[in-house]
Amino acid sequence: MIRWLKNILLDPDFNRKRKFLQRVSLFQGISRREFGHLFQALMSRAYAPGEILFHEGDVGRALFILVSGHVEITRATAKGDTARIAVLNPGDYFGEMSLLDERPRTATAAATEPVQVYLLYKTELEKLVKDVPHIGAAIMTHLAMLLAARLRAMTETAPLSLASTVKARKAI
Amino acid sequence: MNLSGRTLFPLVVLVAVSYFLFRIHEILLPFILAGALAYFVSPLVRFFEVRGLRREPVVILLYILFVGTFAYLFYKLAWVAAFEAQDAARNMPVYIQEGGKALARLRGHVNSACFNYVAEHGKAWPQAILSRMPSFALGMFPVLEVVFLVPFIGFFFVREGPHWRDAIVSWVPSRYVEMLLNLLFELDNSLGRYVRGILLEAFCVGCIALFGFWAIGLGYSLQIAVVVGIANVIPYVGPFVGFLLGGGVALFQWGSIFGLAKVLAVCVAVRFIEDWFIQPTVMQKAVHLHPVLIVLALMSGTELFGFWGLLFAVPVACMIKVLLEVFWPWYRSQYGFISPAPLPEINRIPLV
Repeated sequence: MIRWLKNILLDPDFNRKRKFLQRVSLFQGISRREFGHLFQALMSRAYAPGEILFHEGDVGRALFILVSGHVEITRATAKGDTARIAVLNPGDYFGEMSLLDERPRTATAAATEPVQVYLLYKTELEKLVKDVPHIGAAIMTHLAMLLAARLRAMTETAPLSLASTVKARKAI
Repeated sequence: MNLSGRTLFPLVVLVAVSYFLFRIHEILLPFILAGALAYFVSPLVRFFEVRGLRREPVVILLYILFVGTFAYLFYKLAWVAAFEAQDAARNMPVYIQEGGKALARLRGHVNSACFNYVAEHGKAWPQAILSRMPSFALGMFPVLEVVFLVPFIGFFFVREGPHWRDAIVSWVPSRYVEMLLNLLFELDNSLGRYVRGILLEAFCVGCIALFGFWAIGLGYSLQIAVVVGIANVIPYVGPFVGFLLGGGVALFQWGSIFGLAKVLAVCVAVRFIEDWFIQPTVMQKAVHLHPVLIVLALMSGTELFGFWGLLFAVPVACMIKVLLEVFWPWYRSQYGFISPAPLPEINRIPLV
């Protein structure tokens, strides 16, 4: 009887989605019970091979979490070619910079095979921050740590050029 | 700006859909009300969904609960209405006598031509009302149709809502996905808040009006308060309708201007409480519309679609405002009119 009720009432996708999202580093600070709120904020979409998820220069407001397939990230070079920056695997996320500052995308993302993604849109993230602050804070903290780590890595690899950029900016 | 075929196609589809909806607007009412019902129910469904329950059984159980509660309330209200109708029939001679006395007292204060017109034609009004009862009863059939259709359509709206949203997002070209998501989330947030807010506000106003009318001892307080609550769905109208109905009852019940003044005081108090306490609390997160825009929307709605235009003028105005708020920044940023500025501290604070 209890098993029958469980089969009728419980969502079989719930645990599958939760297990997948628990593996995504962005959501590591979120407890098991809170994942239901996160599902409400995510939207699922499929892309065909070769389809562009977003173009470099487009204004974006969403973060993408790769569920299945592979996504190629490319950027236009000064010569007019495109350079491949990375190929992303399931569980990776991308597009976080535009989610935060709503400025143009710095690279192009294209599906190399049939791809399934979850989209976390800015409005939904803001709603999470207001309605379930613990989840919002966990995501925001992780994003801030990621950006800080990137900056630190950049200053360590090219300290002089960055220092001169800061000096030049101060002069302006 | 270069209008290519890819840009024109969605525009043509949008115009065609708008024209089609305009042509069939007379049959859209049950669908719009079902949408409002779906907005009202969806937070409850979400409450269970975030806890890992499947949407379909939750919606079915909630519907059984709602229909049961509604049927019980309807039965109780019908019982009270029948009881009070019996009471009204018993007290009618007294009311007519009191009303006659009040009119006689008013004779000296009111313009005699106007008074004579009312006295002359007033005798014929009951007959006229009775003669129109059959057509009124027939006119109730569409209302009953709506009463049964709305929960039926609403059930599918609530059950399938997220699937339809996902289908729309899958259908649009990937380049417009983020813009469409922005539009959908903003519309969903603002309309959802508006619909839930307006229903909660109507309930609160009805309760306060009931308390006020009951406190001054007005007859048929419950019925008048229910009408006040329903009428309050149209901004500013609830307390006004309450004064018209309550004033009429007060005139017959007490036969004095003092009774009318008591009803007026209650209605003014309801209006102030609504403005100062209920609206700021209930509607704080909904789309804010300037009062002048609300009046303009109400007048335009009435002019274009009559009563139903009046009823849906404000939510439609909210939708238009959200559409403009979403489309205009997107249009400006898409075509390079503006570039979002980086944080100003970037030039001042060194990288440490």
